[in-house]
Amino acid sequence: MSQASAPSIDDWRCPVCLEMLCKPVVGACGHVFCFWCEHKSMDVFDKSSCPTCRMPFSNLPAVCEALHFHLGRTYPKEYARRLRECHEEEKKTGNFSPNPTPVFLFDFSKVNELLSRGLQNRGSEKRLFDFLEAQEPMTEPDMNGIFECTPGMEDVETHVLWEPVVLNCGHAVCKSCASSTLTFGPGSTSLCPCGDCRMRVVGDKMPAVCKLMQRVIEASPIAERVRREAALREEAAWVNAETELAEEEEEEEDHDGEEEEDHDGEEEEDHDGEEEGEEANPLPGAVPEGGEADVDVDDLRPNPETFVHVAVGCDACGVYPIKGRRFKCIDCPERMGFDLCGACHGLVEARFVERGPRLGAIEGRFNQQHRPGHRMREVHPVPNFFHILQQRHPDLNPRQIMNFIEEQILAQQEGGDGDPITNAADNIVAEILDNLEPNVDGAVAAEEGTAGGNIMEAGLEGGPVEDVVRADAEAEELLTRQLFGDEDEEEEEEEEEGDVEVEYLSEEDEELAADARRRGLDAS
Amino acid sequence: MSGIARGRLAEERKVWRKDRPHGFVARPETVDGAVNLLRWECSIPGRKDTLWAGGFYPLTMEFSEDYPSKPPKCKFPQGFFHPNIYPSGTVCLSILNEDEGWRPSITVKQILMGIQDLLDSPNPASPAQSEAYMLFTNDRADYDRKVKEQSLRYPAL
Repeated sequence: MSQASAPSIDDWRCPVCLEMLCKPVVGACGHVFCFWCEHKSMDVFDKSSCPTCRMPFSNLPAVCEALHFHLGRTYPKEYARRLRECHEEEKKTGNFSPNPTPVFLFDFSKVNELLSRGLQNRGSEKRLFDFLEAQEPMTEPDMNGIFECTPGMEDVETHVLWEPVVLNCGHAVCKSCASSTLTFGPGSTSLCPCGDCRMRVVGDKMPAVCKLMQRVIEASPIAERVRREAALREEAAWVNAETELAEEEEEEEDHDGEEEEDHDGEEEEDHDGEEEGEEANPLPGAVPEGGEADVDVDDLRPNPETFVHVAVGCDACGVYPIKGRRFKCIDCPERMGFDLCGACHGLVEARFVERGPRLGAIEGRFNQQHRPGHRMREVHPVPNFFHILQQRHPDLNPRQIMNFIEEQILAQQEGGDGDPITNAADNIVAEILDNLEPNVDGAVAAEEGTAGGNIMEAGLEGGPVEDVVRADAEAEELLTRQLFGDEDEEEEEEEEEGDVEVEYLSEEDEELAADARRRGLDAS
Repeated sequence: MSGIARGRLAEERKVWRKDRPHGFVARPETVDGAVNLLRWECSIPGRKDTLWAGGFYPLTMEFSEDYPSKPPKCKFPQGFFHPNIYPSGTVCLSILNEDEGWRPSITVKQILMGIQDLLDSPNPASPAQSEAYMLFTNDRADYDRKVKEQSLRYPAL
């Protein structure tokens, strides 16, 4: 292979913000974005699509450390500036992205000193950025330190990446290594082979090669050697596969296979299938609390296995929004909260047991430090505005439901009597109420402190829907998050203030309505 | 996608200044000396050797706070003559439709080039106004004459 040209600084622009990538994440289609750009472009209701190729995806990837470090080494000054900007923005919103520390890659002799100064922790970012800024750019990529594949196979040693695919946990594996060790798609029980993170492999199929990363590798001085080695490994894998196949056939004739392989599989059975058809396996400790009294309204209660936790993502596999069971940490102090989907919950618990209190901690997508001993609680589905409409109109997709809400507002505005937003909300609520059984007795006390907390609740106050809302600590939280809430920074500021929340929603609705109006005009 | 819009538009502006296609104009409007990044005034030249040549067609781009999750709204003057332009002036183009071809990675430059393309190659499959559409499909000579006339109404500034 001829010497390819390394990506230039312009190739490292994020297609969403057009600035230099900052804490890059790699999608399953191989496209690269800033962590926050990717997060902010995701759909809070349903599957998202890649900002570059529109390929559908459900999981927010974790920061790809290889690219993060590579940018830090190659463009220390520019990258430090980006990190600084990003950090300033994060301080405003109170939500943080993980901060893998590139310091390690500059001077190994200083690692201990830097560690003792606490450089790896939050709060030390400024020192880290200063340090980075003072570095001289390195022109050659660190092939053995950064672009390394640890395939987790007994007979294959750690080697330099070739045709890297980046898994959802942000770790890269050679395409050929991935295809011989990992399975993808619903029901996969594969874990990241990096040997450290042990996160679930998610996605419908194997990720596409990250072309940008491959270009860095191809342009390195050792590219030719790496390519040859990759070819040899692939050949060896072939031979291996053939031999194994032959052996298996022989074995099958003798006895019905050993259980060894299945053993692993069994343990991880609980963790699969989070996208299509979540498995109905209750996990230990997942028993719903205190909900026995409202059995009568079961038909109004959404199915916990399919319920969409709007705007809430899993901090382990990144699925967003969580569909099905959701667990929330009550001990993580970060304002973003730490949530897990049903499939990851068991895995994280198992990790705690396996690794003990010090090494078992895991870092959430937003730099939460979730430690063994933290208590997880299941969050019961609490239907909001959106869910109730969705339940009532199962034929509509989320966007159509939002359009319906828009139309209601639009119709009210044209009617011109009173405040259109309030009227529209009343209308929608009335429609919902019509659909509910009247007089279901209040089995549950009203939630504390959230009365009038948002447009939906305001409309439903005193209505029967309130009775079906479980008075869980979580209920309050979910409701305040509402349609647009949770992980979107600005809104969170207003979480406490009921009135402000109403206003925010109204503004949003007004915008939507204005949009619809314009569309209406255009269509005429 | 909140909070990104202005940053992205500032970058778009920078990139545009560095690499501006010939004859095109695109800049954020200024109101009383203050720059409004969410509204750009543009001008698209008719392509050489087409009926549209010689005209410099004014276009406004309106970005929302959701940009680049959502595409900008692109408008010619009201009553602009073209089969795929709504009577309000709004451009009907798949890459500008959130449900069709829009992707956040499409740049302002790509949009403007796309619209320039659209001018001389209308898409009869998605008509947006009846006048231009009817002439385009039934009376090409009259259509051509109208296009030529329109090009004279938008000379270089």
